[in-house]
Amino acid sequence: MRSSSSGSFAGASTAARRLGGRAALALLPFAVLITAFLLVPTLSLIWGSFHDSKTGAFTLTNYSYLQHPLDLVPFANSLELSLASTILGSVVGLLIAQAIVSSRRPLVQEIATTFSSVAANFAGVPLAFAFIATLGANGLLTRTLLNSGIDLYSGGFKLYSVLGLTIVYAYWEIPLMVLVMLPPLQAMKPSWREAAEILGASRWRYLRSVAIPILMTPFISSLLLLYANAFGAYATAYGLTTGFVALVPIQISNLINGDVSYDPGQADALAIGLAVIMAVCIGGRAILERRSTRWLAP
Amino acid sequence: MSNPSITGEATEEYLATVVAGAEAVRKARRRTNRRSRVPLWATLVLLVSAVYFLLPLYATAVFGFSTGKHFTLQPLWDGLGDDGFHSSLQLSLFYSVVTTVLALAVVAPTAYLVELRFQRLRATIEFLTILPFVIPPIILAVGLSAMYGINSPVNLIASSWAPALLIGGYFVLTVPFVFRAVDNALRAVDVRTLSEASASLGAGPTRTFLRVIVPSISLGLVSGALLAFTTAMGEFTLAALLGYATFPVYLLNINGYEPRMGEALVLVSFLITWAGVIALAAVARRAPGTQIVRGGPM
Repeated sequence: MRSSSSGSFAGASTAARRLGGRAALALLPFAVLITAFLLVPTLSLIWGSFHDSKTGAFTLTNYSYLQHPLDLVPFANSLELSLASTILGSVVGLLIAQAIVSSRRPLVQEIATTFSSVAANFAGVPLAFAFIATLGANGLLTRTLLNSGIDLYSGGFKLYSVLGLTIVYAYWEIPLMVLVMLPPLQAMKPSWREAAEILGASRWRYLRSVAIPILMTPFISSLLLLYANAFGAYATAYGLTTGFVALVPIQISNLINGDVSYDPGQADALAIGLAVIMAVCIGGRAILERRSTRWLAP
Repeated sequence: MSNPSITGEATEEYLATVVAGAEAVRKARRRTNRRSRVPLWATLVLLVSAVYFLLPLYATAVFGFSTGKHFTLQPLWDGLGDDGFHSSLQLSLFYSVVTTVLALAVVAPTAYLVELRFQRLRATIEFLTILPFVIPPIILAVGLSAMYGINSPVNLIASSWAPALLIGGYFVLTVPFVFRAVDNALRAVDVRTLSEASASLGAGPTRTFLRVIVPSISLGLVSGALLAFTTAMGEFTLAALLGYATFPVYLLNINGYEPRMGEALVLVSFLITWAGVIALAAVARRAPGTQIVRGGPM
C-alpha cells in the first residue's frame, strides 16, 4: 500500500518533469490572449477614465457624473429596471421551480428545464423583436387587447419604458432563476418534512425552521446573479430602443459610438461605475457560494 | 431517563412511543403519496408561464408568416434568400467556428497543465475566468475600442488584423464556460495517474495529452465547444460596437426596413438557439453537471 502510493508519487513527478520547461511554454497562448484582450483593454479603460480624451491630461472630470443628479439618471433607471426584473424573475422563477418539483413528473421536469435553458439563452436582438411583435404599438397582444376595449398605449404603457423592459428582461430572468433554484429545491429531502411533521411541526413551522434557512443562501446568491445580469445587459435594451433609453449600458455605447455625444473618456468612467456594481454582485455570489450549506451537497 | 431495555415498565412505554412514531410516519407518507397527483396550483403556474413564454414566439410567427392578411411563408423564403442574410450568417459562422476551435485549443491544455502541474496557478486562473462576468460585453467593448479602436494606440480595427480583434474578444467571453466545462471533466478522471501511466509507457507529453487525456474528457470538450459556439453565434454587443456585420447585427438592421422578413428570421435565430441547447442537454444527460446555460449579461 505504502510503496505503491509513494511509487505513484514518484511517477507523477516523473510525468511532470518530463514536461520540462515546455509546460510553462504551453501556458503562454492563454496568458497572451487574456493579457491582450482582457487585461490590457481593462487597464486602458481605467487609464482612459482618468484622462481627458482630447488633451490626454490627467483629469477627474470624466467622473463628474457622480456629482450631478441629472447624469445619474441612467444609473437610477438601470437600478430600477434591474431591481424590478430581479424581483419579478425571482418570485415567478421560484414558483415555477417549486411547481416543477411538486409535479413529480419526469416528463414535465424534462420539458420545463429544456425550455428554460432555451429561454434563458434567447436574449438580445431576437428577443427584442419577438416582444415588439407581441407588445409593440402594433403587436399581437396590443391589438387583441385593443379589440376587447383595453388600450395599453393610451393607458401610458410603452414597451420602451422601464416597465416594458422589465417584462422583456423577465423572459430570461425567470428561466435563469428556475435553472439556478431547481437543484437546491430538488435536494430538499421529503424525509425532512416527514421528520418535522412527526415532531409536530406545522407547515409554516417547517418552512420557517427548515426550508427557508437551508434555501436562503442559494436564493440570495441567485438574486445577485439576476441583478447583475439585468444591469449589464445591452443587446436586448438596444434592440428594443435603438439607444433611446437612459440605461447605463446604452449610455456607454452612445458615448463611444454617438456622433453628438462622442466622449470616450466619459464612457470609460461610466464603464468603471458599471464594473464596480458587477463586481459587488459577482463578489457577493462568490462569498455566498463558499459557505453554501452542506445540507444541499449531493 | 433510564435505558428502556432495562426495566419492563419503560419497555412498554418505549414500545408505545415506537408504535406512535411508526403510525406518524405512515400518516406522513400517506400524505406525501396523496400528493402524487400534480397539485392544482402547480398546474396553474406551469400553464400561465407557458403562455407567457410561448406568446412572443407565436406573435413573431403570426407577424413574420403573413402578408398582413393571409398566412404565407414568403417572408421566410425572402429572408433565407437575402444576400445580407447569407453574408452575415457566413460571417457569424466563421467567427463562431474560429472562436470555438481557438478556445478549445488554448483552454484545454491550460486546464490540463493547471490540474497536473501548476496547482498554485489555480486561484489566479479561476479569478481570470470569473473576470469576464464582472466585465460584461458592453465594458469589454469599450476597453477593446479604447485599446484597439480607431483613435487608439494600436489601431487594429482599420487594419487587416480586424478579425483578430473580434476573435480575441469572443475568446475572452467564452473562456469562463469552456474552462469550467473542461475543468469539470478533468476533475472527474484521474489526470495524474493517466499521465503517469502514459509517460511510463514512453509517450511524450503532447502525445499523452492528445491520445489519453483528450479522449477521456471528450464530453467536457463537446459541451465547452457548444457553449462557445452558441455564445459567439448570438453575440451582438461586441460585434455592433466594434463594427462587424454579423447575423445579430444584420437582424437588427433588417427589422428597420423589412420587418416581416426580420421577424421570420428571428424565428430562424430562435431555432439556432434551440438546436444548441438541445445538443447541450443531450451531452448533459450523459455527463451530469454539464452547464447548459451561460448565465452572464449579454
